[in-house]
Amino acid sequence: MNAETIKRASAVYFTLLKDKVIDENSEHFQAYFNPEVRQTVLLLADESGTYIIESPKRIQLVVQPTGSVFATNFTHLKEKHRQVETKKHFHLMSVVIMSFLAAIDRNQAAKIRTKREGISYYALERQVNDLIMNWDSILKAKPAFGEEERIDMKEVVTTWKYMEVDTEDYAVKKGNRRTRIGLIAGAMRLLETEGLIVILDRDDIPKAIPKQELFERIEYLYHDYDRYELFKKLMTSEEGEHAENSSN
Amino acid sequence: MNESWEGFAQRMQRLNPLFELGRGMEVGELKPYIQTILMQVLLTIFYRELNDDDHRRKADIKYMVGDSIKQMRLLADDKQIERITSGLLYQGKEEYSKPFEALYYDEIRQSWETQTFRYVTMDELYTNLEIGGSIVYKLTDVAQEMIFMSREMAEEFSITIEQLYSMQLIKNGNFRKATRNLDHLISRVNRLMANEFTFQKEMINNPKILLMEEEWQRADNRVEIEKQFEEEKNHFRTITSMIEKTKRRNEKDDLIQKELILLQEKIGHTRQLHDRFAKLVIQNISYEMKLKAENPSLFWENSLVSFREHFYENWLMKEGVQGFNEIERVLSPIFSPKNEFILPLDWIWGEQEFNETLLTDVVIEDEVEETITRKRVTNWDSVIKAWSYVFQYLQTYGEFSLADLVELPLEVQDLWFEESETIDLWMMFDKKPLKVQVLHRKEDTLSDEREILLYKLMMEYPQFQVFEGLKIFTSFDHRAEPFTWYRMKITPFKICVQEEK
Repeated sequence: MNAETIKRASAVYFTLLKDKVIDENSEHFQAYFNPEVRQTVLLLADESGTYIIESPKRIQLVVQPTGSVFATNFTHLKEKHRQVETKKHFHLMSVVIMSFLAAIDRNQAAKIRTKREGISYYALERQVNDLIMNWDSILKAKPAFGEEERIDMKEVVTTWKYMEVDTEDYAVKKGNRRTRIGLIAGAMRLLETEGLIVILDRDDIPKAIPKQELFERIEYLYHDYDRYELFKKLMTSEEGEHAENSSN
Repeated sequence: MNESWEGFAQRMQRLNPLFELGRGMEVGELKPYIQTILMQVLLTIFYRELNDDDHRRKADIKYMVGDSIKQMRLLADDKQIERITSGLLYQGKEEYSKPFEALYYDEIRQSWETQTFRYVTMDELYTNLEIGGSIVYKLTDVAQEMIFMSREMAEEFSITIEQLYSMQLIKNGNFRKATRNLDHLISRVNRLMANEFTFQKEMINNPKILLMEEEWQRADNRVEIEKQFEEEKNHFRTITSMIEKTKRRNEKDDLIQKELILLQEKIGHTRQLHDRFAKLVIQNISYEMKLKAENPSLFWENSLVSFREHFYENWLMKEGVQGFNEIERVLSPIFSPKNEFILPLDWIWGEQEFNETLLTDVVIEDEVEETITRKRVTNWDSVIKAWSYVFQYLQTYGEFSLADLVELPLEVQDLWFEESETIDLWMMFDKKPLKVQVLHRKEDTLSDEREILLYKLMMEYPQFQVFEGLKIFTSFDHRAEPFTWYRMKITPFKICVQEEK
């Protein structure tokens, strides 16, 4: 590995850090696909706890599920919801994002349609509701659930159930965390800031249109068997290891 | 099975959208008229699409509905208009934005199947995905087919049939109809072209779609496609020569001459479109070949794992979570790192700055404030006053050149600098031609600044209501030189009005 390669590789990597995405028109895009440069960039990425997602049109940088030194828009949002009252809102927004990802992760034909039609906030609300109702019945099935175990889950279910869908009051309508639609708007705004979706018809019936960048991230992260195994291991691993470490 | 069953499922799938149009809408006494109204609206959208008019947002469709109802001498309140509009866009509750569904009987499988369709869909060419904003709609193939069907062209509809039809019309001297017929042809080729564009985008982003069955066949069709275009050219040649002949025969009749010139221009335009389309198709094919040859790995089959099934349905839904850190671990890698510290390797960057965090930090707690777009407060009174002089000119002379600004009385000139909006509006008019349709709308449905200006002008000075329905456009003023006006360099274009035929 010579100095020139390292220099070019770092240029690519730091551009990725700065811009998150390098598209095919960037000079760095060409540079990246030099095999030696690519190897070095991948090494840098791995050492700093990040993944590089390659596709024909762009490369993207995201954090790994474990031990990244970097903060993200997601960890920011979490930081801002540390209090008991607001924490459950953060949990609910995470659930909303899960439902949204599930809603768009479908076969090719459906994907093309979703890219055109988007997912309306109200349709998403129904999806989340299905999930929460399911959780509700899981909790009811075992007496220990919700009392000693899975207390957060119960709290989230209760919060959602007693939340209004929407409010008529236009002034507080936007960004109102006390309604389901308000929560969904918050979660979608996070994805919008990340550059993964476009929000259309904001003043009417808002719809989230997933961008290709998002599909590529889903494909890389969740459609890969090895990574799936990794996620499974992470989820069942003991809390102690990575437990809510506020420094990351 | 007798022949009455042959292709039955296909027939029904073609008819269902017609049967379903306006069905199940609760619009009270308007019920018997609903289909006529909706058909008129679809046609309006169709022609706007044809004329590259982007007034096809939901608010515009609402206006079309209201307008059609008025034209047909019916009465409707806002609620009914709202209902009819959303009923064209979605089935059932608007909030869920669901497509329409209808059943048909599949004679081969001998079972009932569900068909899903929409009448309108997002027009990617006009919807601004960068800024967000509102969806601009276009007709779906289904809705277009309804329009073609209503012209008794139900059989296999191809470009060539349309051309033959045009030739027939020209032979019979029905020039106007032939011109209109070309509109359909243009729309058809535009649509095919848009499809090719989408396909191209899709293919580059995600080459796997080439594995979808229907797309596979494209490659084999190449020769056929080229042949088709060759034929196309011949047809056009025939049409053009036919027009030439007719032109010579009717040399004395001015009206026919004019009609023919128009027709000729349109055919020229249509030809160009076809050529562009042909190029696009061939280009896509070559892309496809290149992708396949150079990156075979792109086509490896989908993995067996999916988010929807393995993460969401089988885990999150079925099992719930022990703690939310589980969800957080799954979600965290969807996000990119944000660097908030200065990296020690600053030599890489030299003078480049890390100011990104400043710009994109999500301040969720203050989101109420954040989402309300901070609108510049514009003193419209001043803007209107300044512009009223221009429109007075327009009303009398039909055009106003920017160069004439200098001729206005000095106190009027002062008005032009009170509000920056006043000057900015000039640039707005430099965009596409504007068809004035504001008088009967509510102010808050107007999104185009030019429309707001016209609306306010009409409210303030009723004499300007004559502009309703006219077309306002700009053209370059050839007789004037670029000039400097109070330190602004101004290109002297002029604003003109034209009556819409």
